[in-house]
Amino acid sequence: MMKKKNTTVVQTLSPDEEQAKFFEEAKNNVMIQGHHMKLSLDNSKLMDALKYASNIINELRTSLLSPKSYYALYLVAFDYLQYLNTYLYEEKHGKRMIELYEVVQHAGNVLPRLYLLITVGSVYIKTKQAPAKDVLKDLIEMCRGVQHPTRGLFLRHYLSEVTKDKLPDVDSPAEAGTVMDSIDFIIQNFTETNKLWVRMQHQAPTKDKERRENERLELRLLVGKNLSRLAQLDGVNQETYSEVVLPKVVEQIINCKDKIAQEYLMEILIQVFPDEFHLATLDDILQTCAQLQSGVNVKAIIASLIDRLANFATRNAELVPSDIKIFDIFFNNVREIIKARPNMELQDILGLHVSLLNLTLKCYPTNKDNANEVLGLCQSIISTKSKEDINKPTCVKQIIQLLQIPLDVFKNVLVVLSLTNYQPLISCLSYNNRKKVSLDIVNSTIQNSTIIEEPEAVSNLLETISTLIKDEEDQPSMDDIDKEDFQEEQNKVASLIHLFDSEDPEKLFKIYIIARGHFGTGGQHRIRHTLVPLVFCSLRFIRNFKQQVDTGVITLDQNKWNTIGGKIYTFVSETIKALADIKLADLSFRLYLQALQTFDQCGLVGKVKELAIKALLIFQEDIADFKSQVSALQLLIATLNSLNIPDEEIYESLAAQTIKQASRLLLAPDQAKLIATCSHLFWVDHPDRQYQNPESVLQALKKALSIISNETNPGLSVFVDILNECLFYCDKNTGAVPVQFISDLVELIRTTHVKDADPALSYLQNTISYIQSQNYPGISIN
Amino acid sequence: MFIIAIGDIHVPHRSHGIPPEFKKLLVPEKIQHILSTGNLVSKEIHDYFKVLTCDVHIVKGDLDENTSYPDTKVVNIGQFKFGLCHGHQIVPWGDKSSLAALQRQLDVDVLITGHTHKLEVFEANGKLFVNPGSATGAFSNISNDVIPSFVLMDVQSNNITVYIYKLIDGQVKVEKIDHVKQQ
Repeated sequence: MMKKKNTTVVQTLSPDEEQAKFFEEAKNNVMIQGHHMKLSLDNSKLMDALKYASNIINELRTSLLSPKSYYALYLVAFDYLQYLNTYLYEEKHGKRMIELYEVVQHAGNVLPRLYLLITVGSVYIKTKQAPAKDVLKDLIEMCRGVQHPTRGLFLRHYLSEVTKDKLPDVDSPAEAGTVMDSIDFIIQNFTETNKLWVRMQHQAPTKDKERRENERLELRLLVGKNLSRLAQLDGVNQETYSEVVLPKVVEQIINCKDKIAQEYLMEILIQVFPDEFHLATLDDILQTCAQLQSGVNVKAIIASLIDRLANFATRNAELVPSDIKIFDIFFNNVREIIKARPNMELQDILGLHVSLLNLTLKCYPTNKDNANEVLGLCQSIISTKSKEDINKPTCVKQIIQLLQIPLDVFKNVLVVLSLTNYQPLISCLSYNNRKKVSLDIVNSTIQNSTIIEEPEAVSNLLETISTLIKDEEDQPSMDDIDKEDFQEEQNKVASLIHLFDSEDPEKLFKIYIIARGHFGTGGQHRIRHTLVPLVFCSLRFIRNFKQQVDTGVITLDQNKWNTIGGKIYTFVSETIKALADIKLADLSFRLYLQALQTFDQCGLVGKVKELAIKALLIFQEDIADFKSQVSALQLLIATLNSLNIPDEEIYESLAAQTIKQASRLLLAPDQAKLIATCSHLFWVDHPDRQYQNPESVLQALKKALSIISNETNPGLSVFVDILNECLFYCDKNTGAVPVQFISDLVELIRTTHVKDADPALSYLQNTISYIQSQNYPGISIN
Repeated sequence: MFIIAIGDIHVPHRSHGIPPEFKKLLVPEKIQHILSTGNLVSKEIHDYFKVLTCDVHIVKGDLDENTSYPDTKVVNIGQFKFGLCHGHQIVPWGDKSSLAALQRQLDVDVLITGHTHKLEVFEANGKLFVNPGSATGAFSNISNDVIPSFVLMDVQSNNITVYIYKLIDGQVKVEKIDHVKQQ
């Protein structure tokens, strides 16, 4: 029979649990020894206390703990050593420091020996029983004895902590030492600490590389503190920093050839020393960056330095020496750094450009050349990169930023366009991004109401935003474009025209011709938006021009005036024709009518006739929808009625054609209504024109009445319209409409055409009330 | 209740935007109704009105891009009936007799029209006639020297206080007119 084996379950701990276990054990030991140490001190048993202290430090000889746990253990031990330190300084233990100094050197192991030596040494300095510089020199030499990275790092940290308030400085007595001694001390500690820190990297097998790097990062403060100590020395002024401190620190940073150390130390260096120091040594720092390992994020270092100094310079302009050209130093160094680091990511390169641009615009807000240089450098670098690289979202975002920042800062598109490298940079972008930037330019111009006065500037602007103005090769098909967005964009572009202005009429007209040239290449989807403002601007132009001639502001003979009128007429009519050609019948009809009115006001009768003919042609051939016909004709009647045209022949011909068209409308009620309106063609009573033909007025009203009366189920509305037209001629005392006609019409309406629930009932009632209230002689209505 | 009468804006045909001096005054929370005489002409202006208030009424101007606006509209606000029409349909343009006929047709207490770009507020036969002019001071063949303007009406029971806003040399000038509804 087989015996069952008793299997014991062995507990396997995870690495974290193991660490916790080791730490707890070590900590307990430290606390026990610490407790005994304190008791011994209480009983004035110094030698015993030192022995216990030694035991405490023995725990720090462990190799079992991770750097993080070691740190925690070190802190516990540190407290006890502080206690000892205080005791040694305050208590009257009767021993001379020099004796104690000797005694602790007999500790068994190197680590306890050194910790105790440092502890005693610091008291030694404090009691002034020995010159500081000598003790410090001694201590730092001895620390070489510990070459294990973790243990060495913490030992040197202890050294630094405990001596921080004992370093000779400017106000120390001569025998203690000088600030140079302190500098030497700290730099030596810094150098050795850094070496140990770097050595940690190479201790672990490659598979643990990431863990090792994280552990190193957890301990970075131990190294960085040294630089803080240097900065805290009063004796480290700008000169000392530039000539003594910086060269030595930089030497170590470069020579250690360690990515983590370099990145961190540069960051700390910039942080702990004042901005004035950095300004004075700017070239040196930047050239150091150029020599850093290839994996180091120099962009972050330089960008943070730029931001700091930009802020400093703007807040303290008076503290910046005039011979330090901050921008030039940064620009030149950055350019060289980018050249020297071919593997630098494009997004980092662009990030540096954004920082540089912000720098110059902050520190030298009126200097356009600097900004232009940044854009130029960017463009030259981008031209060497692939489309793929450029179109990555992070890169695109920064290029667009480079283009947007000048718009936001200068708030004047003319200044931005004067940057010769601006437009070339836009052309590096993909279609949608070029469009976005173009739209930003348009919006910026409109928001700032920037007036553009020079023809070349107009041309330059329209060239720059060409992606919005005309089709481009890489444009998506119209099916893929959102119609509403497109219309909104084109309307924005169209708005720009109103910001093109000049006091000089010749220049202004030249501008319109240039704009016409650019917009004309836009294709049918664009010109329907962009050409319309050009029409109105040129109508306004000629009317203003005429006013200036009339008031004598401009002197011009009749021939010259006619020539100019002719030129503008050609411009206007050809522009409207371009819209008519793409079958925008309603729009072009209305524009012809607008033009007609303007040329009428300017007294150019021949042009009025030509425009009216064009309008009628469009009406007859291209306006097919019957509702559109009614609106169009109504507008024509009103327009003709408003004219000052002195030539009766032309006018009467147009009036006759209009009435003819009215009688050809599809629906009888529309015919009747519009013919009634045509009555106004025969009664024009303006300050500048009187044209009155009462018989024709009545004739039109009668004809309208006849047409509507012959309709089956005509409804009330048109009858009341005709009635109100009659009242118009009564109110103006024209004598055109006999009172009998009105009375008969009222009678007709009331007896034949009033039906319940006709929507025009209140119209009729209001009209009748009005007639009653006016008491027209010869009309009596109940 | 605050009503804004505004129109003949002509963006982008004749102007690049409503003057910033006016935009500062047109504050969303303060306006309940917008009655627009039309000729905005683009969607941008319609969208702008909708930001100011949700009760927006627009009638069709002769050049509006949106062809679905009606030719006339009647809106009841408080004790008043407001009539809205662009006015290019009225012959002769801006004629008071012809406007009166439209008022009779729409059967309204207040008739708001535009097209002439001529700011005008008058009473006739106990009714109120308002032309808010052009909010952008846009070019017009009908009127010279157009000044940017709009009208605010404060309706309280049977009384309307009309505030006329004009932009002259960069300064906003305001005038006040009172109108009482006649029975």
